[in-house]
Amino acid sequence: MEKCKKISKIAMKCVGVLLTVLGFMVVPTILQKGSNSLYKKTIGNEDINFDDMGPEIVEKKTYGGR
Amino acid sequence: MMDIDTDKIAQEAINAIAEKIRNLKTLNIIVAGKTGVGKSTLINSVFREKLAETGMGKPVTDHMRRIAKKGVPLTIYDTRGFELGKEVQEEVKQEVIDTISKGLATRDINKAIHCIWYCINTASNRIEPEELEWLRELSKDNQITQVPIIIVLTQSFSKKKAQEMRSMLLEENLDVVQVIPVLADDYEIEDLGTAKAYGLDVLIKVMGEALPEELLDTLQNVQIASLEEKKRHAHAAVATAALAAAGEGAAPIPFSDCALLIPTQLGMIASITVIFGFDVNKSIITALLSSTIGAGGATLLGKTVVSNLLKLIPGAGTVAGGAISAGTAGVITAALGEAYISVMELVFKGEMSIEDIGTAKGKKVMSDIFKKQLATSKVK
Repeated sequence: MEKCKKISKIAMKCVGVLLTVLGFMVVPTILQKGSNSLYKKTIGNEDINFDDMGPEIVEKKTYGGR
Repeated sequence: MMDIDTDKIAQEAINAIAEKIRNLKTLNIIVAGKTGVGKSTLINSVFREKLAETGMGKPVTDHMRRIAKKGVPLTIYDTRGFELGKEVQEEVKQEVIDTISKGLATRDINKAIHCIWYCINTASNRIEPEELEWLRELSKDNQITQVPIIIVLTQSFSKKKAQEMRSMLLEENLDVVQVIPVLADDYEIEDLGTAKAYGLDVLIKVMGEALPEELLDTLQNVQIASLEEKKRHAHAAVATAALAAAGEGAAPIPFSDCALLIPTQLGMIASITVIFGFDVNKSIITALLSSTIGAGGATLLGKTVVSNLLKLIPGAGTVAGGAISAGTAGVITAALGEAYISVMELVFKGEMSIEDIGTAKGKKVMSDIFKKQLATSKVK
């Protein structure tokens, strides 16, 4: 019984390590593709008002004459 | 109570960031236009590292110099001599086409030309017929290669003139992605005031739409013109990671959720770091982790999640058992990502230095945002 418990604990640890390693190999690529696709979709959904493009004019502060 | 080994996780995060930077594709842009239109100011205002300084760049052809800097995944091909007459313009056009063709022939995305900016000075008040002819011929020769062409109206301190010029160009029906008025630097208008710089964020947005997906990380890494686009991309990375984390939490395979959460959260941290383009060291990641998932303010459930997660790092300890709910995994991942974005935003705006992140002030900012995100998501 004790031996069985030990073996299953070791097996679980091995599976965990294997999954972690696999995760580091596969997950970053999936995340990159997913986030780039999502980013493209969100910019595509926004319209830019080119007709309204122009600079903000910050007026000069004038001081009273001395 | 398990202690959280943030140092170990931070080292994994640094490794993930370094790997992501190594894998960034190189963005190659041709910037064409007459001398004096403001190409150098434009390049230096849009991209980091002040690439277009005097003396930088190697001539690669008679009329083109190549500007690149080690560690920056960006190459600018700057054309020269455009104002020297029709013959030289024809030579410049041929050199542009040849550069595009050579890049394509390598079948290497790092060597292909991804975009052409043609710059016209709004303040010149007119568009030369030769320029229009040049653009038409370039578009014709570009029909097979299909490199996106953007016309940038530089020095657009007059909204009226910029709009007039833009309308004129649009009426020409040139095969270009967009015509964008920009003012790269603030401009003093006598007796009126200062015209504030604008348009560069729109240029980045249009680039984001025009470029292939593989170059979007690079674009955000090298650009300094638009905080909003950096944030938009970073939020997309967080949303993707949170969804992946939720999926991992829902997976029926025992303990798969714990194992996969580590690369998911570290991958997200790496993405955000690369998007903002700052040089981040281990102490900064340690501060991020210790002030969020490692903080005393994290929920008890969050701590249990982290404890389970950490027990699966080789050497960290025995497996405690218990599955993480999909919802909890997603929420904690999102909160971690949003806290990091918020602090990156402060650094970008100059309200905090990158070193400040490791201080009590920086940790408090991250901790507060993390707790707020968790509270909003009603994680108990």
